[in-house]
Amino acid sequence: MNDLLVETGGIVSVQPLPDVKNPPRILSEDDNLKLAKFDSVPDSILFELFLRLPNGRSAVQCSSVCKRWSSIISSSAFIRTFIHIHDHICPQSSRPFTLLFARYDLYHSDDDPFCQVFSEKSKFPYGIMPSVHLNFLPHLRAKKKRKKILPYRVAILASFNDLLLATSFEHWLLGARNLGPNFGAKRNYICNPLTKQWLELPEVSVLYIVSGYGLVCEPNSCSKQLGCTSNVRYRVVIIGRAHSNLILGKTKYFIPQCRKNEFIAQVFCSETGQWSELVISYPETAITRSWGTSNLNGLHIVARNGILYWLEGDPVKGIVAFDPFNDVYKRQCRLISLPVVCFKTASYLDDVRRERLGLVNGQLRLSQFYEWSTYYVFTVWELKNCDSESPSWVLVYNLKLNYSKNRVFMLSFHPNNTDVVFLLCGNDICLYDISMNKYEKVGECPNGVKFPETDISIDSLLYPSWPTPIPELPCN
Amino acid sequence: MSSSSTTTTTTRLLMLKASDGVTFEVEEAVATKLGAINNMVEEEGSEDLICLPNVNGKFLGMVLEWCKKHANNNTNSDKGNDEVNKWWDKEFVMDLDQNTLYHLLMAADYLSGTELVDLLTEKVASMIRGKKVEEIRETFKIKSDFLPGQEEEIRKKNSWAFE
Repeated sequence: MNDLLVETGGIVSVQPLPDVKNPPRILSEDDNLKLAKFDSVPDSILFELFLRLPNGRSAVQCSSVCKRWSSIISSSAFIRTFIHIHDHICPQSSRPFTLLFARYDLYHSDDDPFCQVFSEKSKFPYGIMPSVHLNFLPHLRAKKKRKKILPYRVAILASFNDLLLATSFEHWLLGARNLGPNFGAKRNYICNPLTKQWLELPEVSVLYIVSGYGLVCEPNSCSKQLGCTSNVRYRVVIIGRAHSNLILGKTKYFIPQCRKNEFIAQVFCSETGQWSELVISYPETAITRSWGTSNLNGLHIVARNGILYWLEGDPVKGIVAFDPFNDVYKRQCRLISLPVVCFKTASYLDDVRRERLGLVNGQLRLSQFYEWSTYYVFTVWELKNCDSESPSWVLVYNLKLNYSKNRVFMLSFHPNNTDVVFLLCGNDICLYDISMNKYEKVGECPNGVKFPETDISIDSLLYPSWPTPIPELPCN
Repeated sequence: MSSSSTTTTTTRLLMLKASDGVTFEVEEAVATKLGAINNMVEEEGSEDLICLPNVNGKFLGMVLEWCKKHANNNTNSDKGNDEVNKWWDKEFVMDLDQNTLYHLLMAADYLSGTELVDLLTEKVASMIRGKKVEEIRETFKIKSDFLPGQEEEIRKKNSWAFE
């Protein structure tokens, strides 16, 4: 039985002391005070303690208290567990986000191309007002050329959670209107606008025809023991339809392009630190009147669960689902057919891009918005089982909106509210609550927008509980 | 609670002895709220006297008081218990001075009273929240042991968090 007492790590004393009522050795208050130092609290308790801090910012602040706190908080084990716990407490639906409305048509002017930034006031990430000035990126300082100051411009190409893919280019490159930043994005960066960390990607040889850009990190793997490992591997993808080493024929009208069920993907792999250029094909469908891969600039690419999705064709004939982690080996990707119920099949005469693809609470949604005699038709579908071989569309909304004199254009879904979308009504950016049929003006597009479908690009920043660090390039 | 315990199983009493010799007589159901004691009871069975040389009587008493409340409240099986426990927990940590809090935390950790540790760490965390680094050091009497420049480096590296 004495083993028991030894195990508890103390003095073996089976008989109670005689002077139980008046114990002789109680520590004086002074002694206690001396002992009451949080230095001697075991690491495991401090670890638990820091997990209870409200956000990553508060934890990082605590890391500057003393060496021990710093070593616990900056350990990858702590960060993983923190993300794991906080992302479960704070579901995706209440995560703070920022929408960036950039104006392609203003890139050539001196106006600020980021015409709108929208965040919900009650949900600033880590309790601070997010800023999306990308002036921390290099090469953005003004440069004197022929006595004129020619500022470098930065353009956002894609976003993933709180990371942005951005590019910088010289002002004069954009002489022609509507070329947009997709033209010649050689020098690209991955950055976190909040932590101002950035990484310059190796230069890429520009595709002759660029359609769009995507950034995608590997889906989080989440386990109780290890916490959440996030964004270990990532891919930057440039989608286009003519190779970079294309030699142009003398005839202006002859530009060899991909076949109609193909596209070119330039994929940057985080593990190798290199770009590769591939031709990817998707199963050819029965649609005969196909224009092949969209040749419009600014293809809006949505990343979900490690897969990139975009609307394919002009007019739209399906949704491409491209997995840059795995499809690069098969050289094949999936094509998801469009919804049947309530979907208005387009004709060539219609306005382009009445469809929008986006993520709401992590689910893929498609919308269609068009004028119909005296009203607007606004329809929303959600894709169920989108990772499976046979995904299916569910009709979410099919509405008639009153016609107004101002042109109405669907800008974006709300990242985490299924009932709310962002509309452009005239020059106003409005939050439209579908269930309440209520508009709320949240911003304005200066100078008016002539072609919202091509002039405005929308990216969203969705902040996780801990800012995503920028992974380093592998050393070659 | 008394009505339910009229079954044939008589409540077993355990003797817990603190570092300063203060001895507590507690019901097994109460003491086994503490993981360490529960393990000992399960493994060793018949031992009735348990010496706890790392815990001072004053704080062991408080830990046991907490256990008793929770054990009692848990025997009543209505849903209001969670609320009662929460309310009582709030009272329990409300006026703890830092010294007591620290010793209780150490005692609860040593005795593997997971729930109590959770409660106390939450309390400490609430004392950190919203405080600046200097205020945290002052509150917890922590001296910065960084080498010159190290702290500035952390701040510089994470400037977003200090703006």
